[in-house]
Amino acid sequence: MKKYQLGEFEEVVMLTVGILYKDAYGVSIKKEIEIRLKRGVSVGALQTALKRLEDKGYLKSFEGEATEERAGRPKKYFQITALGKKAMEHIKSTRDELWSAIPKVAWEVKIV
Amino acid sequence: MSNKPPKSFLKFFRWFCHPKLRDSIEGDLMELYQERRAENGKLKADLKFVRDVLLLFRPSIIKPLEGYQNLNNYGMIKSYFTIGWRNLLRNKGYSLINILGLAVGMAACLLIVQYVRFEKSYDDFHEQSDNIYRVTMNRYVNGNFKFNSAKTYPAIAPRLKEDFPEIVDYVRLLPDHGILALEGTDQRHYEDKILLADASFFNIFSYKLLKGEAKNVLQAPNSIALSTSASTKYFGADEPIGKTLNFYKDDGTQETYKVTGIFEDAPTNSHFHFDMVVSYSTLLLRYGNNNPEWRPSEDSWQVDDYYTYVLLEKNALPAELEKKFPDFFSRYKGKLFEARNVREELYLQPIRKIHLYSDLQSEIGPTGNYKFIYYLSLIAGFIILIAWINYVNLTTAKAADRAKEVGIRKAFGSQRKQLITQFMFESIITNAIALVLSLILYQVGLSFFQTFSGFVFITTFSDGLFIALVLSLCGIVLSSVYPALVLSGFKPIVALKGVIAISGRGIDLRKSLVLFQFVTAILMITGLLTIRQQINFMKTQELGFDAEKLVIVRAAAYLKTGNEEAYERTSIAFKNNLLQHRQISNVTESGFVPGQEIAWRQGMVRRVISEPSTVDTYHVFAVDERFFATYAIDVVAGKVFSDAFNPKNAIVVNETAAHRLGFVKAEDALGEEVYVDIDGSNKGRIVGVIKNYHHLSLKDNFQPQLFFHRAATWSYFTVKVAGEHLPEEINIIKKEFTAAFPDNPFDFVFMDQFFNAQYQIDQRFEKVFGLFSLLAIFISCLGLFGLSSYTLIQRTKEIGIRKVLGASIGNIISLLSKDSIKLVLIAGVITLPVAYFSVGYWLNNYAFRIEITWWLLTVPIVLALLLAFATVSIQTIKTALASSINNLRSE
Repeated sequence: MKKYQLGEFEEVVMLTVGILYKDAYGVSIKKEIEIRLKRGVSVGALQTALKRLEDKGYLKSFEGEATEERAGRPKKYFQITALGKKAMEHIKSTRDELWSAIPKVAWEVKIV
Repeated sequence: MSNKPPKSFLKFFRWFCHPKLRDSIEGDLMELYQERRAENGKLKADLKFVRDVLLLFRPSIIKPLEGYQNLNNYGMIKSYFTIGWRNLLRNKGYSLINILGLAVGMAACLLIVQYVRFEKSYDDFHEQSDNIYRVTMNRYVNGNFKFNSAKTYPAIAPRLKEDFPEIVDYVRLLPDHGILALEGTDQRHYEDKILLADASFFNIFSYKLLKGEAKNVLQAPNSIALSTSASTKYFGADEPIGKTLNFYKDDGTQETYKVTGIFEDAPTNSHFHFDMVVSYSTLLLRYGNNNPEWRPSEDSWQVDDYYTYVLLEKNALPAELEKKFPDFFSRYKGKLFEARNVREELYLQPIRKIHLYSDLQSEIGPTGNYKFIYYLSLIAGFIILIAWINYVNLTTAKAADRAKEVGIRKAFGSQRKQLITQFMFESIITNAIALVLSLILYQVGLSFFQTFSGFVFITTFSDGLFIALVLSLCGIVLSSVYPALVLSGFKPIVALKGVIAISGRGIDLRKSLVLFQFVTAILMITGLLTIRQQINFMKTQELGFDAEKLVIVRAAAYLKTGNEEAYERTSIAFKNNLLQHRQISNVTESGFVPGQEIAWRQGMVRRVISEPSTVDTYHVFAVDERFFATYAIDVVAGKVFSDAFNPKNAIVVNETAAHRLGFVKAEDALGEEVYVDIDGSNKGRIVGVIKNYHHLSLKDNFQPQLFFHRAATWSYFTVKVAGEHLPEEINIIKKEFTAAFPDNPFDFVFMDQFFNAQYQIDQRFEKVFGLFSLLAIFISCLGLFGLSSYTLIQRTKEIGIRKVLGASIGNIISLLSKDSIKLVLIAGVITLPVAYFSVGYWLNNYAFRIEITWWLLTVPIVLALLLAFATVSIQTIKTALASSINNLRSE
């Protein structure tokens, strides 16, 4: 587990970057998360997560076009790196392992 | 423009945001803003923008403190620190010597500065301290100065206020003592810190009244204000206001005081100390109206017993006022002056100067000594200077080691400024560590210093911190500039070749600095020796009387039948009862005892046959018939009082008095008549002359003394005991005393201790001087040690070669120690004249002093030589003994 550290929100960000594929930059990622997960995301939280992921080497970024509505500031697009992919796969597989390890009986108990 | 987000927040964002992230995030923010504005309107978009910006203000987004664009400067400063720290660690020994020397020096300096500050803070707590002056007096007879006094006449203050508008108010103080008793309890104590004071006391001085009002606490006669601790002593937790206390004085006075006020205990830094204040009007009642000239009334120009303080207007000039005093005095006292051929002058003394600078007769309390403060400050300066010199010496000595580093740095393009900064940083690091260490040392040493020296003073840590900061700042500047300049001045090519020979000038400077250190050290040792010798001399000198095995007992103050005859009867009976005991060989009663200033001075004493203009002031006191025997005072001529001999109106004089009265030989004085007021008669006949004895310490000269006989003086008993078993003997005295004078507290001291208490201040000075001299010498040796060990390392190879060529160990030791020894010798030669004069100056404080002998001046030099030799040879011997192969191999 120590090898690939990924927080819950970070994982969500990674997945969203994956979904958006070539169109993943600040605003689009924010909107996508808000639509899909129905939760508010502040620019600060998102940018922090992006920076941290980039520092860890899970994401890479490149500068894109500048539009008028952005007051001439370039977009910063994100892509998942190979390491990032490994980290996501690792997380998924550990989750699956945990899921499959739950005995069937457990589900029959009614949790009130 | 309305489609822009709030400008200030955008600016704020741009300011804090990491430059790498700034553009893209700003783009996102702008994009979101435009969208929101289109959807929800400007206000909501603005608010959301603000929220986003504030939420972006978090560590991962904020630019790091080092910054990005200013990379170079910050980086260099970081590097300065790193390099400085590494250098410190690489040369642990030198760093330790540097830091230790600085820290000890600073801590010592700090202690002294704090003490000096406290001494200078006396009486500055009075809100009006700048305008309060004490009126003092000088007396001249026939135009010759006779004495100065801190006390004046009671009539002066009210007249001054009437005549001079610039005098706003006045207060007169008269110290008093006696037994204070809370009737119906056993609270009955001898109190000697009582002041009688005018009603204005609490208005002029800023002693804090906790209960009662400043303007009327001391109005009514028989009012008393108590300090909180005095109040607790008598009343415990009870309410003291309105309660009464009985007062018994050893002249038969019995009064009942009503408590009208409570004040906070007076601060330590007040030049007089008191536990209680009684209203001045009490005095007028006490002495009645029988003699308007002598009673303590507004008309008395005769009894100079009163301390007078005046409050001047804010911008009044005391010097201008003083000029008007001669006229003022002759207006009121001119006739008396003329009749007696006397002149008196009044002066104004600023209250804040009294503690350190006043040295008059009859001071209200023990005063400090500004000379002492000067000497201490000088020592403090020397100590810190020595510590700084160590730093400069060690750093420049090591310059050669760093020459290559400087060369490379310069080759890489370092500017001189940067190199200076580099070396300054090293000194800042050293000084900062020393600062912290010195504060710890100071905090730990403070209470030790106070108990050790007996100087109690109040300081706050923040004061200490401030002074320490200033000191270390001075230290950084003074001690680092020169080494930094030297080191940064190397020429790169020469430095890289590695042939930097430390310039001759540098060696000279180092030598002269070491010279200075040793001059100081030798001076201090000389000073220490002198003080020791002088105190020893004073304590062992023949006093002219036998101080051994004498017990002094304070006479009773409280008598059930309170009159003088009753006292006399009881006193004589008490003395006779004591003499019945085998352990008690003699007992006497006298107005004063040795070691105590004789407060009774008669100014109009002269021989009956001589001119009225020859009057002079003599110290007078009454003794009973066994005084001279008990004290074993030698008789030069005639007879002194004894059981068998005490004629009426007879006086005994000491040699000084006989001389001053104009008798060349003591025998000539016998039978001569002298005008002196004793017991109602104004003439006395000299029956005996005694040899001069030291009534006061050897700091004071002999004074002319006159003694007359009185069977009971109501002041002090002196009991000569066998001294075989002191507690038992004291017990006998106590039993007889309590039997004779019930309800009186029994107080006693031993004569020798009482007398030697006069040297307390000198002994404290000796201790403090000793302590700091040792510290100064320690720091000097530390520096010499560092310096010599460094020179040794440089000369290791040379030593190896010399040994191979056949030099003996002795040769090498002498070769290596020669320089230091020479320096100390030169220091000694320089010190001689300085020491001679300063020691002489110091000794002039004492009336009886030791002579400056040759050994007093040379022993310190020899000591310094030994110290220096020991310091140097610790390492020299090691190197000299080491195998020459190792020496030669060393790189």
